[in-house]
Amino acid sequence: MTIIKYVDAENNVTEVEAETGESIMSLAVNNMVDGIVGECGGAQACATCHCYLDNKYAKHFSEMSEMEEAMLESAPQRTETSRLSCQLMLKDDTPDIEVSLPSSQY
Amino acid sequence: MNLVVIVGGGHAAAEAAIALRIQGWEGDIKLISDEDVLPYQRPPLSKGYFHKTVTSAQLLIKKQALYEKANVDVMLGLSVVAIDRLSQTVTVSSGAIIGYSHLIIATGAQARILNIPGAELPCVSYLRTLNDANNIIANIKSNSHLLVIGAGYIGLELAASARKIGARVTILESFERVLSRVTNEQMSGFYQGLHKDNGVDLKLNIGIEEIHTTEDGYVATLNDGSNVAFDHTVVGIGVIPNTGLAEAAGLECDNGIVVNEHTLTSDPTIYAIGDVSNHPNEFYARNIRLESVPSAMEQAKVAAANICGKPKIHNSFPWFWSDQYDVKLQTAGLSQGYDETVVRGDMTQKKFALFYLKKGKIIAVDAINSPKDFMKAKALIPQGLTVSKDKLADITKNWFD
Ligand code: FES
Repeated sequence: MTIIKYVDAENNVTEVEAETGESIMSLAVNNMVDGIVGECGGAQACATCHCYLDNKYAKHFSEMSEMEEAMLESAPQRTETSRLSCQLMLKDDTPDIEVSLPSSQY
Repeated sequence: MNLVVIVGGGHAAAEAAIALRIQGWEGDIKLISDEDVLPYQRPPLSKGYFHKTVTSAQLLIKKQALYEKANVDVMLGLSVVAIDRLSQTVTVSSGAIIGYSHLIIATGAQARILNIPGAELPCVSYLRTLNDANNIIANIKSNSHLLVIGAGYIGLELAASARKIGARVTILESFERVLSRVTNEQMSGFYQGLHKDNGVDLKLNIGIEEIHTTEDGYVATLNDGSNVAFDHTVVGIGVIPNTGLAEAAGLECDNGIVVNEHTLTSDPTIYAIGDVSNHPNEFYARNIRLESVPSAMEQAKVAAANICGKPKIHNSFPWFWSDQYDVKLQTAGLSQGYDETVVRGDMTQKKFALFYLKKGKIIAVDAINSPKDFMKAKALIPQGLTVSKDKLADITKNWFD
């Protein structure tokens, strides 16, 4: 069983069982992980699904598209490891992943 | 009694049900929806779902397991037919009477109906529900001719999706330009060019008088006397908020159900959220009614917090998006009432931002393939921003610094 671990800005941890075909955003929304909003439902239009993904996990997901990069460019609390979690799709062979969340999505 | 009844099955309803639990509501929660499926996202119906890149499972706003975990009683395929405010009960179409301590009305809006001879023919559809979408998708093939009536966002997005699979598309618009209610002439011109470049036959300033059947399909007769043969038509001429229930219960309504900044109606136990609410907006200093998923979600959270005894004010800034062909529009704010506009960037490159100003202050931005300008605008406009027109137009520098 694959586990996605969400660590919020206060270090509260929520562990959720991964589901193939879901994104890290939709998995969070379906498990009451409060720190991810996902207003646009994954259309890369809102950046309220902002998370931090350590570089060591990057290879398990598709690379950032131009649109994702541009959306994140002006997102609040942007860092080197910022990603839109709606673009991080879970596959059959995704290993355990840990993402951290900004203190606010606005 | 501690029971929240939520009437409606859209974004606002689903979000409210779960937000109540997140906020700590310990009583019962019942969600009553007249649709036969769990609440789903509507924006992808004209795009990703049409192209099957989004599955029906992925459309669900929240999954079955979450309603179960959150102990939300989801009652599908049932409508609420009456609200009795005195006894604090609702009557359901099954005949059941359900009491409530708090009621949330999230009934959304319905499509405005085309009122011409032939409008009842099976070739005429509207896009509001998943069933509507399935019907439309089944009727648009690569060799079909789709007639889109009304050049608003829904009509334009469907036109783009139909072109993508190779269908022939004709759009009819009764005004002299597309998107006339939400954008200025330049932006309308941009979208008109975009659709024409993609092979859409766009007819402006034209009305439709009747639809009739022929041997091998349908024909629309237009008010200039011409005829258009087609296979299927989708009508997108606006929506009407579903206020019937609230009106019958004597709640104050005026283009939606009137609520205060806490999303509370004129009855202290009844809230109204989502596309059906007419709510105050501080920045624009007027009451507004929005057709917007982000706004519906925010209103749901505000209502849930207030019901849980955590007073919260709804003060989100409106924003919208639309995907057509290779163009992503992101709009921050409402442009109504602008007195000047400034274009930043090159419209021919399909990458620019159009700023709407009122007395020098930015009130809205339409960003075309310009997420950065959108993100900044969404964050900064509510703070009240005055930037000179020269600076807005100068792409060598950031306008927001
Ligand atoms: S959910 Fe909106 S950008 Fe990810």
